[in-house]
Amino acid sequence: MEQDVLSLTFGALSDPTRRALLARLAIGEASVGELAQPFDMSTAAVSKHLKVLEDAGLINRHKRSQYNYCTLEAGPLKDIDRWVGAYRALWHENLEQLDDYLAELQRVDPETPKQ
Amino acid sequence: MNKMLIDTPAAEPVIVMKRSFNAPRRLVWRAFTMPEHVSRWWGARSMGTTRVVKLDLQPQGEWRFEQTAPDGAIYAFIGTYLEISEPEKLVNTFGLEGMFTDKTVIETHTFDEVDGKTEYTAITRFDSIEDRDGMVASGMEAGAQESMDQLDELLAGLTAA
Repeated sequence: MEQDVLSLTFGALSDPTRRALLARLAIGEASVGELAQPFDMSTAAVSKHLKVLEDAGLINRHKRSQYNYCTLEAGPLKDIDRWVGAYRALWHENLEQLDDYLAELQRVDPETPKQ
Repeated sequence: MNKMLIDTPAAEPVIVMKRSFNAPRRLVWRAFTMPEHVSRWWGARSMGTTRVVKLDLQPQGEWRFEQTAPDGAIYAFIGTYLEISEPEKLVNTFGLEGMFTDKTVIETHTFDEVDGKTEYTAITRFDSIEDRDGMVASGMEAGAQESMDQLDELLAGLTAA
């Protein structure tokens, strides 16, 4: 379950247009027309990207009067943030330990490191 | 001075890590690619020693490193090697079993040697099968295929003439 959600979120985030749309929505709600404006693409093309974001649970769409509005859904982004935090912590520790280990190896014999 | 630099560019779903090691890169390469070395530095110390269960260093070869938490839970880090260019570049997928698929995250490790020291850079990219599927669905793939078809026709015309 969790892996599917993460894959969907990563997938949705891997496109520059979709990241730009999310960045715009981070400021606040916008209509599909407003979202399409800065891009050199049709409203239909932008709608396809919005559909991907909606399927990944990153945005909500709702109709008001005759317009479609979008809002940001922060939950999945927070999950990504947690994952990235744990990943960076792991590698931070890894590289500290590698530094120590490389020093230890070279004290023994730089040419033929042994375990 | 010798600390790790981490950058998460907002424009791209990547994490960039840089670090300098006071060791020649062939040694750093060995540390990354030989099981007896990997087990000495890889993993959270709070979970004790890392067990290198598998390290099949060849394209499409798999790796699996296991750690045991104090409560007995086993965490298995898994992935597949994609590119092995000794001693400067190593590309592999990265995953934690049961948390996400191993194809989601791709790590590119590069090792540059400067004056006997190693400048290490890792770029972690969030890739996904869903995204590639999405590209096919949105017609971008069809456009690329159309160009290839036109090229084929042109080549066929030239050969026939």
